[in-house]
Amino acid sequence: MAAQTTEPLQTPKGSRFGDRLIAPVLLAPSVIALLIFVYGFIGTTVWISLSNWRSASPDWSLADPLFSVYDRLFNTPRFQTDLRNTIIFTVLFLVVAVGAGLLFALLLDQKFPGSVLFRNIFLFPYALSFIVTGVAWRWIFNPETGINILFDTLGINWLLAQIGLGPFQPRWLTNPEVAGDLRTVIPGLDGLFTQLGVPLAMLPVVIAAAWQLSGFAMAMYLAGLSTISGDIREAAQLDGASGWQIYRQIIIPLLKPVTISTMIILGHVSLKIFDLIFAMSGSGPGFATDVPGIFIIEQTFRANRYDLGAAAAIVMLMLVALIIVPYLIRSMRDL
Amino acid sequence: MATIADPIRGTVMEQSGRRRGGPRNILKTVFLTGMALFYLLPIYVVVITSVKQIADVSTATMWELPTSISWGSYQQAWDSLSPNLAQSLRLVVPATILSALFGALNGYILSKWKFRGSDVLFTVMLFGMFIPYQAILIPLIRFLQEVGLYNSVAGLVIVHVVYGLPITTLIFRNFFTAIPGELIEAARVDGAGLLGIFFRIMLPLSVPAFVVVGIFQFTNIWNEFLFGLTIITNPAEQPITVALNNLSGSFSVDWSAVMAGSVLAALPTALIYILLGRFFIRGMLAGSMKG
Amino acid sequence: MARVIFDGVFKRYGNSSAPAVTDLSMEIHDREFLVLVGPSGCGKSTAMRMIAGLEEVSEGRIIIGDRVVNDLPPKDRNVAMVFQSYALYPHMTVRDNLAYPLKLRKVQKAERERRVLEAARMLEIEQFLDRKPKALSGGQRQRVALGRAVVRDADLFLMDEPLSNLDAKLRVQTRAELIKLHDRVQTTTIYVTHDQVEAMTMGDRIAVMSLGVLQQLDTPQNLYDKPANKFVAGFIGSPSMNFVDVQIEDAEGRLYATNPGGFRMRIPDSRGASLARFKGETVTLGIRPEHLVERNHFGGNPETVLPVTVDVIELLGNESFIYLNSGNAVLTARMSPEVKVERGQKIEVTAEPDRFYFFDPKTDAAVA
Repeated sequence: MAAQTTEPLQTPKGSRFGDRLIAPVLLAPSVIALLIFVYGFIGTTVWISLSNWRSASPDWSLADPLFSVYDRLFNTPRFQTDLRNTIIFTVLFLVVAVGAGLLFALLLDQKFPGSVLFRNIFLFPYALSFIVTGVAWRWIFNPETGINILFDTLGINWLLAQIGLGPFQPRWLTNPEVAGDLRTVIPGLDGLFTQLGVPLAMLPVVIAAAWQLSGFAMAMYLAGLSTISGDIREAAQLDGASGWQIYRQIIIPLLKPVTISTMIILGHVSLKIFDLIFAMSGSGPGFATDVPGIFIIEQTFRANRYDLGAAAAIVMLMLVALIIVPYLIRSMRDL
Repeated sequence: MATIADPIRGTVMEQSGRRRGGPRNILKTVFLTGMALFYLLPIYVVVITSVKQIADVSTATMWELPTSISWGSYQQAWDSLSPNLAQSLRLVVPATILSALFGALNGYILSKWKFRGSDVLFTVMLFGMFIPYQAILIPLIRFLQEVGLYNSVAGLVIVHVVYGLPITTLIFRNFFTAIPGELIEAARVDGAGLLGIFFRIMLPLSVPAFVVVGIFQFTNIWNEFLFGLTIITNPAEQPITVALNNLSGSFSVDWSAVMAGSVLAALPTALIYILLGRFFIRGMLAGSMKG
Repeated sequence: MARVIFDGVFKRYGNSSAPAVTDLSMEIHDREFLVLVGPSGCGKSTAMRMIAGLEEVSEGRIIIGDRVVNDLPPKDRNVAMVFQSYALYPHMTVRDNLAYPLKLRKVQKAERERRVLEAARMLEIEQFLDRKPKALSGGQRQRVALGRAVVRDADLFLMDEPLSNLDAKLRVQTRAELIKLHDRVQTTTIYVTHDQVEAMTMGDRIAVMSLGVLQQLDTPQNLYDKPANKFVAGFIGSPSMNFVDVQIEDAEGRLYATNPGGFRMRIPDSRGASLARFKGETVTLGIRPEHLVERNHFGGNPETVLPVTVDVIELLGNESFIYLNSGNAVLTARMSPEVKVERGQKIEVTAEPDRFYFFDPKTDAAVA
């Protein structure tokens, strides 16, 4: 009982130390769930991508050589086309969506009668499901039933005929053509099976995706603009800057962090894009609108090529991680 | 008053010309109106087609207003889609509530009870928000089969709750970070513990965050497609987005019914946007990390 | 270098009833340092922003130099402004911040660098030229904001509460530096503040505004000695002038100021003439705290005294604030610490005859 006399200061049975222990315990279920559902499952998918699982029943044995599935994947013409499509789509989509979002935000930053209505209209598509909008856009970009009829209805083709031009009747989603081919310019790319150009059927998809997500860019820019004080613009005015110079030299440079965040978020969405294209055009003529998202689902669930589907999914994950991980690490430093 | 100026009118030169430009504003309004019409175009064509009679749906007149309004397509769409709408509702409501509750608890701990490594854990959790779900789909389905939740709404609810955790945790964490720490300290001095503070102080304060998270999750889960497509195989039990895609993909496409179905599928989230747009935008921007 | 003239200027916002600025007419001389002072919402910032062109003039004319500038955009007015928030461009270095207005005016690169360096030297910010504003302290940012004005060779400096984001010590120091800067560059300066101490210490002349109306435009000393009305009298000086509503009574040819609570003071004979017309009526009596003196410490001949009770004493070391009761009036006196009084003590206070101010309660105008 000597201990009792030498340790008179007992920590009271309070919650102070208990709470410090409870905190991680309460967080644990969510953390464990995510460790399993995100990291555990990604690990499993990696394993499958290295396995021989090529039928309805699982085969967990590892392939020999280990990376043979990836070798097969990158030599699949369709997957090469998918990677080309994803990159072309992402670049075009980012330019259009972020550009339109910036333009709308700059035009709608100052309140005027109707400005709130315009904001709401531009943002509205974001609230809708890609499936709903994909269905609508499929109909609109069908050359027989859709927007080409509108050109007729509006008399645009009549006008073109008056000035001696043929009717404007693009084939939209049904156009299998690919414009340009980088393989003819860059010598090292001869081995590729796919034409490295812009698949024309992708353009309507870019329009639809930009239509749906430019509102997000606009909202990001509007939030960014609201943090730029009016004093800065006024100071620039007094310094002698014209309206255009204020935008060009002050406001747009100040919005750079917003531009980066928007590019990263929309960029990762477009690398993952699946629903919209699945509902709008599917793989398209000659896989002109095919993307890894569709490839994975078809290989896995229709063709039972689990190994190939998993490998494609891991490639897609790598592409996304390439832009998201630096972003997450940078954000963590600000925490 | 000593010196009130008497301006010498003769020596000043009058400058002429208004500076606030009218033409530029007109140009801006014309441009915005044109863009707004383009943005409304798909909605216009969906809505007018949905109220046309089947006979009225010809490609030549598809952009023109219907000669008469008919609700027949809605009846038809409702007949085939109502089980899926109900299914979506059964899925969305519990998934939204559960993911919000877990998010609130996580956000509270990660903002007010940080421990060594909690910021790293948070970042590790956040990564789950960005992954392409194709990368976890095969093991996920295997797992659901093992535990007997494949092909069930309950399984789909769990999936949406788990993959919703990063974003709900993020929104709540940002919300609670803005609440002053003195409040927690005052409550601790008054004798409240971690959970007491959560239930008695933080939850009552976080109604706005629940609205934001609720709307965000409701919209996300309602609009989700990939999980619905792959986790439930029976077409009658699939969520509305999958059913709509099936309907539009069938061979003899009755476009006015598909468009009516689109309106039905879009209505809940569209209404939320129209009625609660302010909260909708907050949730949407929360994904950009800066809160 | 230029003068500025306000000629019957009004500023109205939308359809709100009271204009933000009402019929403002004044001339600010070339090279003058003019302070626009008043409580918040008095129209002083609006008046300044109209000079800059950041607000449109609803009615009347503003003239800078010899040009009516009403319809001139801000960038063509050759006016430099220092903002309360400093409004530095956060994405540019200090050097680029200073050079930006010159770049826009197509000043040659060599000349630009020379002037940036000159301004930086003048404001002692040379060592920060390659930093971004984020990496500077408040005081340093303030100097950069000044530098951006100095570098331009503008006709006019406009300063909108430029010191209010600095801590008290730095504010006093910068006040002196601003005055030195003005002595050196001699550019006409219009300086907006709500702080009457800043106004008194810095302005060649001060324009006091209230509720959109110019109350008085005069030198600091004249504002203090001869306030045009009750507002100016109360606004200038700290602590504020004491005001007591009193009746003017005539007893045996002598005038007394009284109020129902028992306040009673003889009015100095020298002030009798101007107050005679208020016999039997009410006027507002004003006495500055620093002019109230305990009778025994009064140097002159106390023609008039006011019996009071000491209520509260605040000792500040170099001076004391003594709160006095007389009838239902409460007066503040600012006295030397040598005046020893106690709470509850009855004393008599007085002031020099010309230190009593009287205001017509109907118009608030001073009765000379």
